[in-house]
Amino acid sequence: MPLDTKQIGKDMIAAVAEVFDKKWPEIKEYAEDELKDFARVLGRISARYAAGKISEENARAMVSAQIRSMEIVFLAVEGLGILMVEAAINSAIDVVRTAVNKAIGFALL
Amino acid sequence: MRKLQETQKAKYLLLLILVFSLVFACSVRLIAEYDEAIDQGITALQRKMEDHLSKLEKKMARIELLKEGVQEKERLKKEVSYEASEEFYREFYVDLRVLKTRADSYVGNELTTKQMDALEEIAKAQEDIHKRGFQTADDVADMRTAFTRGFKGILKLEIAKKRGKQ
Repeated sequence: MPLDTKQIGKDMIAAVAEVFDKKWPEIKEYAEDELKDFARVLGRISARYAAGKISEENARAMVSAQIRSMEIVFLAVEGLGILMVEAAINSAIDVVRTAVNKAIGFALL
Repeated sequence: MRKLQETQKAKYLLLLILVFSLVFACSVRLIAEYDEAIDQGITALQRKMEDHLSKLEKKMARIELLKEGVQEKERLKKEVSYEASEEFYREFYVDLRVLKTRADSYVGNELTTKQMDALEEIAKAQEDIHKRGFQTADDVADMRTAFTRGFKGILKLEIAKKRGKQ
């Protein structure tokens, strides 16, 4: 059976789109939630500093810790993005693998 | 001539099969595999920090309510001092560095090791504050949010490395 490369191309695009449609909103929601929380905490720290309840040194250290925690979030987002791309590539490969095996008549790939 | 063309075709077919086999023989891996020891180690470390900070926060809140000179206040002040937590910080860094070394040993795990570096920086910032003295219970609560966010970020990436496998 000959390979229908046009159809394989369409199926690959659909497989990749499915991965992105499913995973990207989850990653986006995670980053947005953490950013909102980060902003809330910074607001609290600056309010305490403005009220004279905490020293400048402590306020700076607290803000630095919050920034570091957001760095961890963005590194997680970067990793989740890489895993999403990886899943998309593997989905596309699966499409080709299935089509090739079907055309050949046995599990070559 | 015809035989030569057929041999050429066979060669191309063989080459095509070889390329397909090489490219598609296994799945693509762009990032390190899931490591249960890192997952469990980070969870255990979070439990320790959470326990430590919730006790500190409770004591700080109690200090804020008590009047000067009260014996209980003096005792609590000693308990929330940096000296009382010095050993805790030392153990925290040891545990974290052991996990970082493990994470470092995997190819494609740079993001996780960078996350652990950032977590260590959060602990250092807290240690600096603690040396000067926490000023309010809310300070402890806010440091807790930084740690929670950090631990969650590390675990989120580590668990995602399972790639749908449970």
